[in-house]
Amino acid sequence: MTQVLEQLNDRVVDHKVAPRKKVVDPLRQYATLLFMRGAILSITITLLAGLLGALYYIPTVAPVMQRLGIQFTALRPIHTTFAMAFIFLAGVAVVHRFFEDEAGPMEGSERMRLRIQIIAWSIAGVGVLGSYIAGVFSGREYMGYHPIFSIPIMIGWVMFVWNFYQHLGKGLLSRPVHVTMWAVGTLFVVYTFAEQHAWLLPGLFSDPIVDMRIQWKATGTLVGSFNLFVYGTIYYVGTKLSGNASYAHSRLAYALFGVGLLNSFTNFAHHTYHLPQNELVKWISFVVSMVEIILLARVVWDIAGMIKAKRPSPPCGIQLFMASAKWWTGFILVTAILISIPPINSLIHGTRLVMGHAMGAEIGIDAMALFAATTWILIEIMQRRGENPEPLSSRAYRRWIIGLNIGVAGLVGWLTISGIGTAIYRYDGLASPVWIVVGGPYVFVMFGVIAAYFLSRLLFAWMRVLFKRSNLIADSTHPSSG
Amino acid sequence: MSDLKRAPKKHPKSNVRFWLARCGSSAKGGLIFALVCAFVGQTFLVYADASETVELQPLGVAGRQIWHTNNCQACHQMYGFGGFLGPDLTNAASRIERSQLAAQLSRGEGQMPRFDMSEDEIDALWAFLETMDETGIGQARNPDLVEHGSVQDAQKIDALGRVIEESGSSEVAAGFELFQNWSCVGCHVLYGQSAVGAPDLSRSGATLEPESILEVLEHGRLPRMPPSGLEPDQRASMQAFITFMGEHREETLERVVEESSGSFWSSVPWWEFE
Repeated sequence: MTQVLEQLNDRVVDHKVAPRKKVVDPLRQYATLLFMRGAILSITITLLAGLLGALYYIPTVAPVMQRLGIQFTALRPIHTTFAMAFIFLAGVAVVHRFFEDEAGPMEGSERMRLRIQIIAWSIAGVGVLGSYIAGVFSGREYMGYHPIFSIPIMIGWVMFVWNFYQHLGKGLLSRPVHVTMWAVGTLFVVYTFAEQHAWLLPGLFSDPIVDMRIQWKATGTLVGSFNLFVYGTIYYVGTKLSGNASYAHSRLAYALFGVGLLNSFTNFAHHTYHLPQNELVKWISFVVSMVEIILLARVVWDIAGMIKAKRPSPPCGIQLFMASAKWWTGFILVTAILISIPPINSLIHGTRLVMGHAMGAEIGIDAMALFAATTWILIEIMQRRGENPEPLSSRAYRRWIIGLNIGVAGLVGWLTISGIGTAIYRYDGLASPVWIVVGGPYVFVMFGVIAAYFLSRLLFAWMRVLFKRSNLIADSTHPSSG
Repeated sequence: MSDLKRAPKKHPKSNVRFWLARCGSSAKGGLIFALVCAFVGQTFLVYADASETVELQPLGVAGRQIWHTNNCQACHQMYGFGGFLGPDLTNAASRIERSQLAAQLSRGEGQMPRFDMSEDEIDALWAFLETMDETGIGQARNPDLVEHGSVQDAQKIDALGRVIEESGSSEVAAGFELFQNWSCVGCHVLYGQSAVGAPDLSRSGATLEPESILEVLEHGRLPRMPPSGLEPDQRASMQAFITFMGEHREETLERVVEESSGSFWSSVPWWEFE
């Protein structure tokens, strides 16, 4: 993966993404655009809910919010659910971009399934948001809405899996690693999404410990499954932009995929060290987490290479997002390894360090990689329309990316420091020190606002392209699309 | 060799190698097969886990339903599941009384909104919290502290005991003994504010007159501090101890820090819940 990023950094210059040479089914292009729109709307909702939720951390502001009827009990699940929706939708958009090249014209039955998928997910999106706003909760992590809306989500996934395997099922093992990642990821989503709803079984609800064991496992694997979409995206975009597919077929790429996937369904247990549970599950998690050191070594090696390498031109937006994802991967791997060591885990568990770790992983790695893919896809769309893609690689665009990274780094850094402070005091039964309790909320909100400002600038730039009124079918005949 | 050639040919589907080959004769196929096996194994371990659990009674089930439908998890954690705005409630039933829960729900406090719940609903929620409290420990605590029934480092307690002994006041020593063995340590700590927000008792003696301390010990202080339930002579000893701590806070703290060796990491357990 990181080698692909290196090739990308070396070979992609500014916004000159090579236009495609063959005619593409405009319906496929439209599908990519629709899922990308869904992803951008989801992250906009995530951002708004996150900002309002952050204000709740200031004790004097919280009562005002309550009087206005803006409840934290709704804001937090909106934030987490739509963050996850962004990752999945952007990942699905990238897979549809892959279909544009590989799948040929869309046939009738596939078109019908795609239509069902889009309608089902649209109903689910509106329903989930409505459920949260109306205060109808299931009270579960990531899926805190009324469970009835899980039905259209599941229907949409089944349609997507069907279409995916129809095109790529044959000869799957001979395809590049990103296709394998998506193939495994789609199946994992369906399985773990169903498993997330095990609590609906009456016997399980009355046994909260067993319920929690299963929910942690399902949540951990669900996160792993969306990571597969993200990592697949990194390989795919890297391969497309570098024009070199050899790494995506290499043994190393598959070995790293294996280690990553093994981690995704075992290391959830570093969240359950304190839960009454079979110790073997915990030992497996601990040992497998330590295998992540291999990944860390690889990332550190590549980052060192990146620093040494001299580049004549300033990096483009795609490169900057990819480089950000790599730096974040290094940092998150260090914290993931540390919190998997049981005595350290027992201290920091339940503190804001865990929140910082999750934010760093989801924004720093997942979102940055998907933003790179978003930029790439949007540049292609602009080229198809005969527009100058300069706004998506200008100096201002690069400044927004750097600003976003600074904001997120401040946020994650502060959560990590305050989490460590809280952990040490909490262990001796003491309240957190004043600098955390009093100063913390303001630092949290300050960095949150910085990150939100730069992300909103990027969102506006993307929305201008995504929601521009234009006839895509006509666009596909543009010379730049072949 | 010729015998082998004459051997009846098995149907390929009855051959394990055939299926392995179908799963992928290549290294990629082997890798995916191994990963699937690992996932199935991990799933089996989680579902077949025979570790001790707890079955909620109907009232507790109703309480859990209330917990989820009100999305308490958005702010509070239970075994690590949930938000970070409010405290972890896995062991809430050990820290507070039912009456405190009812008061908190009915009036709200700070970031916590008010919830209009009936007495039956509060009973159900309390039953759920009580059952959860019995299942284990939600957050790590220094095991020495738990063993001593105190929220103070055992070494610091020993060091402070020596300082008090040197002071020669039997009344202060009696008060210190009561402090450790009465319910005070459930909420209060010395030289710091406790996790539940109770004041640092090493400072109270400097800010409160002896009469006020006796008053609080006898009648409690709303909304959180209940009457201590101590006898008059015990209250006098406790007041003497609190006043002594207020007058000698800095020097006792210096001695305590000096005599307590750093045993932080050695006290941290390997698995948190043990």
